[in-house]
Amino acid sequence: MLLFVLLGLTTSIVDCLDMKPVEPNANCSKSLDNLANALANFTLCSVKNSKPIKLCEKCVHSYLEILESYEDIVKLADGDHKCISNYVNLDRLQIVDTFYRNSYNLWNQAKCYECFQSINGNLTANLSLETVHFNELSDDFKRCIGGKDVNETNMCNICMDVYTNLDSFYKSISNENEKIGVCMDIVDMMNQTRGFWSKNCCKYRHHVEFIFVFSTAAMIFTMIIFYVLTKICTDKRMPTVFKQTRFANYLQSSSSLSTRR
Amino acid sequence: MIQNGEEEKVDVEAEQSENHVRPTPFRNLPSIQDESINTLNEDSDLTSSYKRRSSIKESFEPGSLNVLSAKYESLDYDICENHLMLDEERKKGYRYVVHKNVARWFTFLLIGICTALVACIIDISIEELSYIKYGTLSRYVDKYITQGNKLYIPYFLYVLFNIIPVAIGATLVAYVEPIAAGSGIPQVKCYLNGVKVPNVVRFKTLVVKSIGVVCSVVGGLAGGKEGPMIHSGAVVAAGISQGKSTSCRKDFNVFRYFREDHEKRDFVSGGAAAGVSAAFGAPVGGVLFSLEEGTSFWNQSLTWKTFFASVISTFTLNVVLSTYHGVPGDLSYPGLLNLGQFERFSYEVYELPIFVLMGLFGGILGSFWNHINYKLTVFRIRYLRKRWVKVLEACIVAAVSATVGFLMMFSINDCKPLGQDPTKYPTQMYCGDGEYNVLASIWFQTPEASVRSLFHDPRNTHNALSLAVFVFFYFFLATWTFGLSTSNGLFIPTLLTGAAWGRLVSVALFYLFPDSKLIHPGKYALIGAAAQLGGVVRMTISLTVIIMETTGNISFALPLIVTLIAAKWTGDFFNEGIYDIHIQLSGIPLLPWEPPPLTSNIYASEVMSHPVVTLKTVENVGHIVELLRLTSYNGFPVVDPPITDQRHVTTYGRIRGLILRSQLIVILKKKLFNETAEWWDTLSASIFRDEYPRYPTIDEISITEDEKTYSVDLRPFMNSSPYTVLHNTSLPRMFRLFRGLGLRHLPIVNDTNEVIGMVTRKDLARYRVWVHRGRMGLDELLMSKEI
Repeated sequence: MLLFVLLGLTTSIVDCLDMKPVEPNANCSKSLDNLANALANFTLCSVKNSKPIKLCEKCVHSYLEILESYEDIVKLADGDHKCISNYVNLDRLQIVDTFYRNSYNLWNQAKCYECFQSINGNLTANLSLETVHFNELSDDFKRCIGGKDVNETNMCNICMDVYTNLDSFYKSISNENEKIGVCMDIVDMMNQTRGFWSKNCCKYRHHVEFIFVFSTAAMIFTMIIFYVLTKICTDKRMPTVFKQTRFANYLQSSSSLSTRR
Repeated sequence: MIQNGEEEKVDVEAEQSENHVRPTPFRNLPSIQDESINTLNEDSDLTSSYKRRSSIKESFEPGSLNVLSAKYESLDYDICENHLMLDEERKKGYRYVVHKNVARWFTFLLIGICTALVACIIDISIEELSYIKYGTLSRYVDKYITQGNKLYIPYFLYVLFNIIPVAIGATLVAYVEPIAAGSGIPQVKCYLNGVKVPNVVRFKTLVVKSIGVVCSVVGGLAGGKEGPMIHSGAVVAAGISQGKSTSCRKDFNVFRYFREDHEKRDFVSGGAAAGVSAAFGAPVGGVLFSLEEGTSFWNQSLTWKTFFASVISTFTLNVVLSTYHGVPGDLSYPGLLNLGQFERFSYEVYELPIFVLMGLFGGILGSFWNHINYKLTVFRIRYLRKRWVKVLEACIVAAVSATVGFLMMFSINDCKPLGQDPTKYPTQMYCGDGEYNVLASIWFQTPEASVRSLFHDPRNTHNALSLAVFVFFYFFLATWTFGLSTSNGLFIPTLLTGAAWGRLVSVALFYLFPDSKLIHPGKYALIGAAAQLGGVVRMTISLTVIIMETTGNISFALPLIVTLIAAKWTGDFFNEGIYDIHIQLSGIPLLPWEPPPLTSNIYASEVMSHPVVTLKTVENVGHIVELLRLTSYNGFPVVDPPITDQRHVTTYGRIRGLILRSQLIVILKKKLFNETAEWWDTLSASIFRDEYPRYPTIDEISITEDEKTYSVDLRPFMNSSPYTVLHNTSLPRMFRLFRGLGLRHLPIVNDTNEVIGMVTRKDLARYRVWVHRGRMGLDELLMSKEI
């Protein structure tokens, strides 16, 4: 019995030692290089364009490269051995997959795909129609405010229409409630524009709201009057106590009866 | 106790001069020394004692905690073992037992499903209506705010949107079914305790309650839909198990064998649990709620069935709501109050003292809340009695809620950029473009959604000032709203207040220890909410579990328990839980868990009502009719005729059994007289069940003069083995017997087994312990027919 176990153990150890070290073939390592370059480019590009966010617009080419080379490496196979599963993603770290996921997630979280046209579900580098239109409007706005003194009160009046156009177009393409439906470039651009506009031109939202303040005061007053009036006008009610008969008072009453008798 | 008595006696004398009496502390002595109470009525005829009682004139101001109302009756939990029942049992056999058990399980299944469906209807209506309301308001505010001096237009619209639904709801409650007011938890609690609260489980109440709760939540009152859900569950259970509805005059002829108080109470406890479960998505919490509130008659198989109903209820709700929200089969909507899953957060040992302090604070705030509400309720009892005044008050509260909310968003310009937090109806107010007003986002949503955002929003969403202002006003609004003539509960507003100040604590802590990683605003919001709720309602077991289940965080049990205990003990130092205050104000004779301590020296002979109205085993019909007309008693000991028949010698009869008023009524109605024996239909126990639960009154039964000379043999109908105790039994002993068995009448007998008195729920409930600021004492409560 013990012998069998020992035998089994030795054979398995021998098997292990017998295995050759994993060495990716030439094709595989070439595409791995490609992917590495693409990832490096994209990372560089995205960090550089992180403020103001121009991620989608500037880095779309390197992102497409990543997609392409990753697809290559996935498809590549040497007979039965798939490049990606047999040589690359063997260990706990899964370096290639991790970096690829990173870039993929960054792109998707920024909803960059909303900025570009896609053909048959594949991303292209062509800007979508909405993006083009938004950029036009945005340029209009920039042209309008450009060269004007910010403190000049006229600026707000002159550029109001352009701004309103831009703002309403943005509202029409974004779903403001719970999820933002446009790509991050546009969101960031719009946020900056709005911030600029609010800072300089939103002072005109405030007005004297005399009627409103007066009517709230009247409402509070009504409330006080209501309680005072109900207190004054309601007659007091005095419920009577209902005495229960007990053994004790029965004894008393019978004793008083007997004394009376 | 004694020295207190001295103080109070002086008070009493002072007050009596103004023709008031204040309830006196019990002095453990025959308390009546006043000669005037012993009227000159000299005949000891038993029925005359009734007239004598009503002739006494002593009055008190309404709204007292120490007066019991005489109008509440007990439920008959004790099964009447008479000959008819024994006959029935003999005929049925074990097949019948199996059949009844299967029917019982099926009923619990139906209760779970129907409760959840009611919850869904309420929830979906609220969601749809508030979508319209707040969407419109948000749009109008942003439209008129730039036009200058026109903000009053959206303001009046807001007021109108609040007043209209509230007026509808309040009118329904005030004119159709006043018992549907409030959360319904006190009423359900009393029902489970064994008090027959009129109309509490009627179908009409369910309808009014459901419509009322939709109206008040849509109307923007500081109230939630969770408490009413519990009441709705109870009504659904009572309705289904009876297989008939008096409100609809419909009898489905099913489940006839469940038509008695005992079975109905079991189902109602299941229904209440299903209601909790639907409201909070907390099946275990639901079971524990029933256990905590109605446990005096509990058993293992009922617990299991209740749990079944609860799980079915939350499952059904989940299926329906998931489908409604467009994710059928996803099952992520277990309850109406969905506080959302917290991301995992941990706590350190050194945080526990902070939690205790928060519990302490919650207890203080909670008891303050209760005190304000108590004062308001007393005011309402005294001065707001007319129905239209009640409706008007509800409308005023609704209008002021809108006013406060609108003023808050008008004056505090707290802006956040859009898109970072989920905001349903972002309103710009005076914020820049692309921003929304935080206070508007809190006010323009249902309070439940606000709680959720306080729990889950990231740290910097709310600034301290707006939170503080919000807490302050919402606290008072909530306590003002509870007790109006509208159906709404207090869980949500209390949670909201607590969550808001809990978040403030986290802000403060963050300023003190800026580098601490553990300060998670959601965690402190949760603890604050638990502390506040514990301080107001003073529930323990079920509340902990409910909060644990709604937040899906089991590892957080210890902090929650520590907080709740601190809150409860602190609160109890000052006053009682809000539900108990309301129960006491309405004078309901609720029997607490335990008999009052140190009362073993009070004997049955002091507790009992003394002259007992008894019936002879074979009794004259005219006498019965007269007795039922004159008295309001519900149980009559049946005795052997006394040996002597002299007037001035007190005689008692030996006890043979106990008969209920309802049975006598049925006997009279069916004319089961000895002289008419040949015309009787077949006798069975079902003739009593068919009339259940509303028996005709004695005036509705016509008895001819001839029939009044007939006689009735009560022996086949009476309960021939009632529980009785000797006259020297102590109060705690009787109390335990009474509460443990759910009795309604306890005849007191002397050494020779003759009935000398009767103890009912009110006789026991009038001995009440008070605890205030660490002192204790015993009160003997007064009784009144007019509250």
